[in-house]
Amino acid sequence: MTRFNFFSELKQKLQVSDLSPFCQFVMIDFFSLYIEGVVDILSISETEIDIRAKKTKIRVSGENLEVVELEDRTLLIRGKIFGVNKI
Amino acid sequence: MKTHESRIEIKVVGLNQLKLLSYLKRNGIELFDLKLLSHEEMIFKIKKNKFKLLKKIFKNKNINYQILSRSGFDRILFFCIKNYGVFISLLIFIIFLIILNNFSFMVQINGCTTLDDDEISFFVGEKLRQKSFHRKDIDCQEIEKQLLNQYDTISFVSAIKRGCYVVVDIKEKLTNVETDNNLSQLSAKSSCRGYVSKIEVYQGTAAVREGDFVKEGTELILPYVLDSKGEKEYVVPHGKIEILCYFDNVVTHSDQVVCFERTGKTSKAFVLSLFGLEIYQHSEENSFEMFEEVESERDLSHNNILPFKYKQKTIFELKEVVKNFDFEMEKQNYIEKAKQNVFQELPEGVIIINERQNICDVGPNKFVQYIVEGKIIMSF
Repeated sequence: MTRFNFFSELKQKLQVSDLSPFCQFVMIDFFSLYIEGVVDILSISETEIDIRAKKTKIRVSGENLEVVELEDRTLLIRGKIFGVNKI
Repeated sequence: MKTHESRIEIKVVGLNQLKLLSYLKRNGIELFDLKLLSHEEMIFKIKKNKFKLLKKIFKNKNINYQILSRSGFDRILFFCIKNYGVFISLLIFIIFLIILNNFSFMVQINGCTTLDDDEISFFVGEKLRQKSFHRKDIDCQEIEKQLLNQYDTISFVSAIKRGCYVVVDIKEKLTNVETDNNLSQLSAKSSCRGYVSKIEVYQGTAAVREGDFVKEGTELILPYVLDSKGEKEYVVPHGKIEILCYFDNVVTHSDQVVCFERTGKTSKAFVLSLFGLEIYQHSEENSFEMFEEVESERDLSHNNILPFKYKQKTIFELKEVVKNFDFEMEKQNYIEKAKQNVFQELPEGVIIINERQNICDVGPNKFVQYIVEGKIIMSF
């Protein structure tokens, strides 16, 4: 599946050759969060979703959270998102 | 994400759901609409093409799963497999319809009056049988030609292919007998009563002469001419006929007329009602020999809750009075009245020639007659 990806443009701005070692987030108006670089899902609940990304662990907190799509390295979350924190 | 993609909704029951998620993810199985119901239950959707791989993984790991629903094309396919009887019937029906649509083996005949429908239907059917029932091979123009050649009485024929039918529309020729019958009913008839004053016949035979008296409906020109052999040849009657006619109206006068007048004595009765039911009534006694009654009704209240109605009946006593009328005083009125009556009844198209009035005495009565003389010109 091919997807629109603007990370290549970011690479130029940040002057790095590869973004793959990093974890990338795209949030659309606090109701949808797209994460690239997902290694594992640690827990799923309506208020919190814990993810293990490259070199770190991330907690997405909010209300009515649900996993819309889970692929090899990407995750799409929908719900009322309050915050994305490193844990 | 394509919403019309075939997807399968699966429910997985067992421990270590998150571990299973990671395992599926690593094996390239994309998961959609993930819902973790509890630590032991999870629902998700996968693409149809990944279902085989998922089944294999579940089999190897000995995981229990349940298919909840299917969406997209897979749902339709699954429905067809599950209800194969309906599907096969539908398929046979469509095939049958497609095959039938290529053949026209029935004949429909329209417009026959003297000709026999079955005979023409059989004739067309035979022609089709000789050649082919296949729609491509049916030549409608050829059928039209053959029908025109076969039947002399056909004036116009049209053949078309419509579904499984060959529809043949026929217009037959009018025979001489029919034409004569139609013409024989076309005689020119009078529309009024009077004397024929002038007659001009352009086509047909005159049925009346000048000076003849005719009534409404009397034949004026007959729809035929006689040939040298003395036989009737029917034609459409044409001509111009002038009829002198008169119209009159009579008004009667009597010197003495008996009429009734009120004496001034009255008697009253009234009824009070609610919803059509009489609640109270009162009537005064009367001993009138001749009387007339006048009734009036009115609402006592102007609401729909209690619509009381008050009905009053007044009885007036009458007496006989003999009145004398002078004819000379009323004469002009009688003439005007008779004239008005005549003109009201005058038919359209009358050319007025003269107007006059007659007055005659018969006993105590006098009769005023107004006469309008005119002529009507009828053209056929």
